[in-house]
Amino acid sequence: MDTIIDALYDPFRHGFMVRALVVSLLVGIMCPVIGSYVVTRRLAFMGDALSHAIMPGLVGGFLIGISPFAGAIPVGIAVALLIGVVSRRTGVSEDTTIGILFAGLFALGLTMLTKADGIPVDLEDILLGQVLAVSPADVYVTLGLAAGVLTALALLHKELVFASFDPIGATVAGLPTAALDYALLVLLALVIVLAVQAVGVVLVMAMLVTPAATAYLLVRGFIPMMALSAFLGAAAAIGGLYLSFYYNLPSGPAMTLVATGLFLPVAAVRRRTA
Amino acid sequence: MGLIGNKTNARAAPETIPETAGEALAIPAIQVENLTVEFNGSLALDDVSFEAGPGTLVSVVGPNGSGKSTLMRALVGLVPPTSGSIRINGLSPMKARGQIAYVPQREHVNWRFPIAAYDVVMQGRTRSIGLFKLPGRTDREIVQQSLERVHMQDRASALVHELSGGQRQRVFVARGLAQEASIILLDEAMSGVDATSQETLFQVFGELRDEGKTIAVATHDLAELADRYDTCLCLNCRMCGYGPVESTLTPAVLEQMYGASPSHIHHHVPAAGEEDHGHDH
Repeated sequence: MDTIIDALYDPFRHGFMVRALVVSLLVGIMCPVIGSYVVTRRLAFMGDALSHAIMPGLVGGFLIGISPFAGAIPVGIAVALLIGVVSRRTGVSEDTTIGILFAGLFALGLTMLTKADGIPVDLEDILLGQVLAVSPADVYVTLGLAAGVLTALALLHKELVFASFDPIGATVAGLPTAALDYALLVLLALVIVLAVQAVGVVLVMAMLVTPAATAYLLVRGFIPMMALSAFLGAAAAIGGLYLSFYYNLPSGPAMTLVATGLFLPVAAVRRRTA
Repeated sequence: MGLIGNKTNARAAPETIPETAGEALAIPAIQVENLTVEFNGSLALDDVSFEAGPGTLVSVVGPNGSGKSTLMRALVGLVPPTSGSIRINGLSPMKARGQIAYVPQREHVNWRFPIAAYDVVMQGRTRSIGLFKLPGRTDREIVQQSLERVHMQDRASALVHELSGGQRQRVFVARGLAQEASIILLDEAMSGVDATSQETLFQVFGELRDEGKTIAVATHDLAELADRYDTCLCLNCRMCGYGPVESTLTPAVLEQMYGASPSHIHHHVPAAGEEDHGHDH
């Protein structure tokens, strides 16, 4: 018994593990909360694309010597807005537009990274996440972002729900649905930026959709879905953190495996009819 | 005369001197003049003109692709007119937003979204509540009353995707009631709606009409049209007829809408021998 408790407690004698725990928890909570919209509005591809498309921002942040956040936040917001504008302007379907921007910006980020000498970051850490490496400053930025996004989601809750359920009805009732859609995408971009530290560019999608989908199968209403998915996401993040620490794994795959492990048994026994 | 006055005093109002709510009564709820809508060069609506309400229950009939839905969407400002004008309570559709409640076609609703019937009806209060605010007691009372009017109070906590098609329509109409809109538009309202729900809905529509509201319903169902609606607007891209159901829905108008052999629907036509084409609007 003592050894189990020691195994759970020991890692947190290291300062980096306390920081990693705080960031993992915030990622584990924020991703599924906004992920509840991603799942119910079919935005999974958008989420995946946004996470890849912020690569140039992350790398740029390292290159200039500022925080990767400082690079990724404006790029994430710009891409979120750009997708809407490009698909409206060109008449090319939205998923194609997303695909083009996603691939192009990801390629730009990769190129910047391979051509940049002497920046203190591995490609693997960006792609797969390395929550054990977060700095104290990262913790504060993550806390601030998470608080801001949660506040915005709470303030816009009834409008976002209306626009998600019945976009035309909401427009006719006088809601600014286009602005609400953009607001949701910007919030999604911000959550993705904070999540990339823990799960990496490639696996953000897992934290966005997997806990939210698990919760969708288990509870009825939208707020219960958000709450349960946040709990499941936090569990996956902490479980993944331990796996990462003890088995020296990148944190993204570890957290994703735990989240998937929670989803599969639920999916095996629960079925939601619509 | 007493009978007509009881049912549709508001319709008779333009000829009489308006009383207390005179201003509102003098302005048509819906005023459409020479409305033409084109999509990529093809005509969806061609030169449609009519006025309705306040206090009218209008059916909008016509075959698939006849522009019923386009008309509905133009009335709420979702589709811009190519030419012609639309006035809603004397305002442009964009300015009148909030005064119209709109029940969309079911394929435009995200049924996957896990939301309870009660919360859908509360959506009607969104604008009155205001940004960043929570519903108050008045809002909850209005939602409860709206649910009761469509007999859905016992299913208030059910998720909408657990409800039948008819129950869903009743919930959407309750949302329109909660919005306290003066005009309610239902796009393809009665397809897949069970008989019980239809009865409930038409009872509510009748009450609303008597309260001076204007209700327009796009429908495929020509049966019982005359019993259920005051007027019908017959569309086949062009307006084939507009007026009281019995005098408007003539064999000639049916032929214009449905082509040369409307025999399969003839038996629904009231007073099939009438010659009044009802083109006078």
